[in-house]
Amino acid sequence: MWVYEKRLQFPVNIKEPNAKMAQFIMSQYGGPDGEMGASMRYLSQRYSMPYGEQKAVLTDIGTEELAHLEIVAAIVHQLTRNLTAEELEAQGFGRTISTIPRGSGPRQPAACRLMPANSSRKVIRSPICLRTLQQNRKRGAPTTTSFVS
Amino acid sequence: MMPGMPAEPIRDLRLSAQNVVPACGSCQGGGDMIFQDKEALMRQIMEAGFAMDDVVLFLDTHPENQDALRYYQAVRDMRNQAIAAYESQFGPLRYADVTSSSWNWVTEKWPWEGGC
Repeated sequence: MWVYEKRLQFPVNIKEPNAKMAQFIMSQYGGPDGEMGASMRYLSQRYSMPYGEQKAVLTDIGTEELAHLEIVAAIVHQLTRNLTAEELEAQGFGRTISTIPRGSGPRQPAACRLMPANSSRKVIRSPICLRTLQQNRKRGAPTTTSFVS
Repeated sequence: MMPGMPAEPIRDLRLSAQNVVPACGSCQGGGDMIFQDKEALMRQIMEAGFAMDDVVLFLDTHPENQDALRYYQAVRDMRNQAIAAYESQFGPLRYADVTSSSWNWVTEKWPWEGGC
């Protein structure tokens, strides 16, 4: 289980929004080298570890990656904060924002959607994206649509 | 003694970390003591918390290291004191720490909103 602390691990105070920059930063959220994948990998790898030192370090790093995830999300949120739909569109954020209700930041399906179809298999296996993939299969949607931005 | 591990816990974390955590611009120069205290306390929590995150990972792979264990105890106490001081004035950082007669978990600013 986990307990939330109502603070960022490192402060984020962005004064000028910049949706173009937000699109680059977003790859660090749910992309193939993003914090979400990192956290899920560390936490999943714990179960095959035979020694206490390994179980502990994977647990504590996997937990810290969630704090990093929140920092990245705060950066994307503040970079797109208070922009109008027209401004977001003009800064190339239109296609991304159309999948994110209220325009405040990435959520799970959007983060999965940001992964290119050829991203490494280890990321596709992450539990959240796997679930999206399975739901799409049930709906009869082509399996790649979730991963093509 | 492992390389990189100080022999003695750093007594004042701010001396070692003052250039690591940037000050919050929105709370600078306002001359408002309350906000300065709030920022200073959050900064202490972040600094001690960062030191604790780091030494915990070290201890995970070096559980017998007594220097690291002493450092952990020192930064943990600093962190706990800073969190208690912050929460007593500015509201809970963890929902288990709500002591108010009203549910003030929902009223304070959220971390991603910036500020202090």
